[in-house]
Amino acid sequence: MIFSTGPSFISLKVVIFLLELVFSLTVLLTLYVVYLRGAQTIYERKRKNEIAKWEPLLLDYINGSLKLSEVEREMRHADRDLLGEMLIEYSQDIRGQALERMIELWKQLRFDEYSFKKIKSRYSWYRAYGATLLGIMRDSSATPLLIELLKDKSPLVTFSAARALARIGIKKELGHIIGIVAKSKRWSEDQFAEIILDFGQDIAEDLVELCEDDNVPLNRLAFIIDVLGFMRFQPAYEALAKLAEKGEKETRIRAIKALGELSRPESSPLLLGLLGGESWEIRSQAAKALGKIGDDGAIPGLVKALDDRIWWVRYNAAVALTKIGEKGLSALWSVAENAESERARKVAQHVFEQRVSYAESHVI
Amino acid sequence: MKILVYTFNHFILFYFLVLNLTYIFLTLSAFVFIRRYIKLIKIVELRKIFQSTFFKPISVISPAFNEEETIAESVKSLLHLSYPEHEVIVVNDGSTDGTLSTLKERYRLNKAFRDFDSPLKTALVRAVYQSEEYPNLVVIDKENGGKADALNAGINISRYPLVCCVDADSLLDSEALMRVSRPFLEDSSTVAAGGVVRVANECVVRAGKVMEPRLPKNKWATFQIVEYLRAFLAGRISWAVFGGLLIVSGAFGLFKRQTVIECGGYRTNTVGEDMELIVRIHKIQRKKKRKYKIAFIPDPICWTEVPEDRRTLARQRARWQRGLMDSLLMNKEMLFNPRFGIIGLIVMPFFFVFEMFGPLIEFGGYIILTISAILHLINIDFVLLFFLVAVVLGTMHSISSMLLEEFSFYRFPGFRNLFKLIFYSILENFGYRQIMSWWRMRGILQYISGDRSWGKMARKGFTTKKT
Repeated sequence: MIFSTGPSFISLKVVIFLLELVFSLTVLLTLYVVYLRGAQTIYERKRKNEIAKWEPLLLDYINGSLKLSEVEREMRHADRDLLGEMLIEYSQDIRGQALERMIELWKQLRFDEYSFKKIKSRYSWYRAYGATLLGIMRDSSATPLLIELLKDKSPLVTFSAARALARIGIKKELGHIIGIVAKSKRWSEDQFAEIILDFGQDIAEDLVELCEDDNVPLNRLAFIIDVLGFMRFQPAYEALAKLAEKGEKETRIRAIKALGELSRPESSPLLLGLLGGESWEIRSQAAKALGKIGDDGAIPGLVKALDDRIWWVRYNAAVALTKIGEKGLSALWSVAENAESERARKVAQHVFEQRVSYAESHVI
Repeated sequence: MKILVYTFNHFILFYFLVLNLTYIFLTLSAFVFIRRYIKLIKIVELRKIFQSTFFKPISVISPAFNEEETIAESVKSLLHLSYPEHEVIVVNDGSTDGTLSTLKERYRLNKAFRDFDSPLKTALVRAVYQSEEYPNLVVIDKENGGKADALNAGINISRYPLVCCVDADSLLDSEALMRVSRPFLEDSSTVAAGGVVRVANECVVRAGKVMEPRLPKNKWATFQIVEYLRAFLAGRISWAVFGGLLIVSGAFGLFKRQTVIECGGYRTNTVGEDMELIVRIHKIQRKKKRKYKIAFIPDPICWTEVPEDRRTLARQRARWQRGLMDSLLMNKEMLFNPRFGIIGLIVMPFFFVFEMFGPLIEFGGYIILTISAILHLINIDFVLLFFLVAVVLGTMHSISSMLLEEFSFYRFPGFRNLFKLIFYSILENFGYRQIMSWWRMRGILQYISGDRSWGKMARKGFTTKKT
């Protein structure tokens, strides 16, 4: 035994072996950490030098002060990895002619070949990375390969490929693919969201069709509804109104919110009806949406909602009244001064006070 | 007596093996997760979401009690966080120093009428202030009720769907909110997310940001850096991957407001309110059979001041032990209960045995060792070898955490810092760990005797670079 002199199931030799093993592992790990630190330090230093060297040249080229051939000649002997990173970093935030010039340089320096090589890699992350690069550089010659990648078994690769295609501009043709993806769980919610936002208005009609498809998972549907509202896609009105009236609570809440974004006066009767609903979240969103629509006819309903038992409903109703112009403000002021209900008075006063301090801070 | 000694020795060996194998497993899992995460964020950037209206706005709640020295910098850093929409709620929890007056002067606070719902009971709120300069800064002045009570008051007044609870002495990295909100965007069933906390002692702070991370000269603080790396990078990340994270640091955590309210908010009758809330969230979500997730992100950075003197550190560790015991014992119905899945069957038992009873077992081992020596039952070769194995394993765990740090977001650059950390990783096995166990043991004794106090911490304030 470890501590005693009695019989033991573990011999001294085993313990010594364990000690040697663990010690060796520790030494190896330590050396590896030191190596990584060294490598990182060298990389950082090199990166700093390369950026200092190439950045002025790159900026002059993007601005048009230097020709492609001049820049290409200078950069031919640069560290490829670092230069590639620099070009990608700069390309993320530029548009128009500047981006076109960057793409030309990228191709001239044969970085496109690098990307093509990556998307054929057997490692999924490299395929995804390659697709991302092709997207950033808007390389339309990669379109057939990227469409092929949409069938890849790795969700990250399909995500990168879809994103790249969206950046290149191949959107309308892929609306049906978004539909397929919407029904599967291959992408996480944030990935799905980014793709939908990337594709934007071009797939709005496909999104409306998805609203009517029972096979779309609820969390995806919720986001699709949000996006239609965000885009203020008017043809989605009927589908959204249907979703707002009945169904799963979260879906209804999103649909009500989207109706608010669409701001159609014909939604008012529906939303006023929802102000008396059972769920406080629905009442709250209905109040908000009525504020966005700005219809005078909603004022009595909103005033009534100032006495709701849930604070959020009262608060959103009060804020909504401030958005319905003079009549709404006047109604709210009347409540703040004269209402019998203390909670209605309080929330009205709070919202007025908020408006005043907002106005003051903006004047400042 | 011999039988007792033999039995206990076998138990110690088994305990030692299970503990270290678990740590090795957790470290390896953390390695896989961190690598995957780093690659993922390179590809999935979420630019569009944060440029749109689809992010979730956040209420950042910062309770403050006698934080005169650091409150100004802390609030500044919170106001300048890079996030599309957030509000900052500072809760002055009955401070007896100049915390409130510092805030009033610095941020031009005016009393505001603010009607709000109070689903969580708190001590009396005396006044609510709004900043003239920063409309998204609200300060609550309330009677002292403790940190948990202050957080609950902040949650009551918050108006956004996500609440981020931070300590008043924490400094958040400017992109911390963007990063810690990712799990909520990735999966709408996420109810809480935590991030890595780093030691801010002697780091250079400017405009509420850590500009230059530095290793402190103080040895206690340096030891804690090694500890924090191990705990956060190897420990919490892995537990979260398996759905078994039991704590999101009180210094920095993001929650769904509605979930916290449903769970009844932070408990005010414990010093481990941060851990207790997470354990309770697990309990309630599992009872209601809801799909939920508690995430942990390796990269968002929160910097905090750690104790630099023995007394304060001792008090802190004893308090943490009491908090741990509270959190586990208040929710003990989950222990070995299959209804609670991995939490009940693996995580809670692990924490009970290795974290809660750990100091008892360790000191029990020292006592048995002494008895063995007195009874001439000791095999000195084995004792020395065992001790060496323990030291080397302990060092290996710390070096592994440093390796994780190198792969991820290494914050203490340069070889000098690295070698210093390696040195302290070895050194901590010769006294620091043992004294930690003793302080935790004191925590157990205090818990048994009914001590529920917080204790004081002397604050230095951050090092501010002169421009």
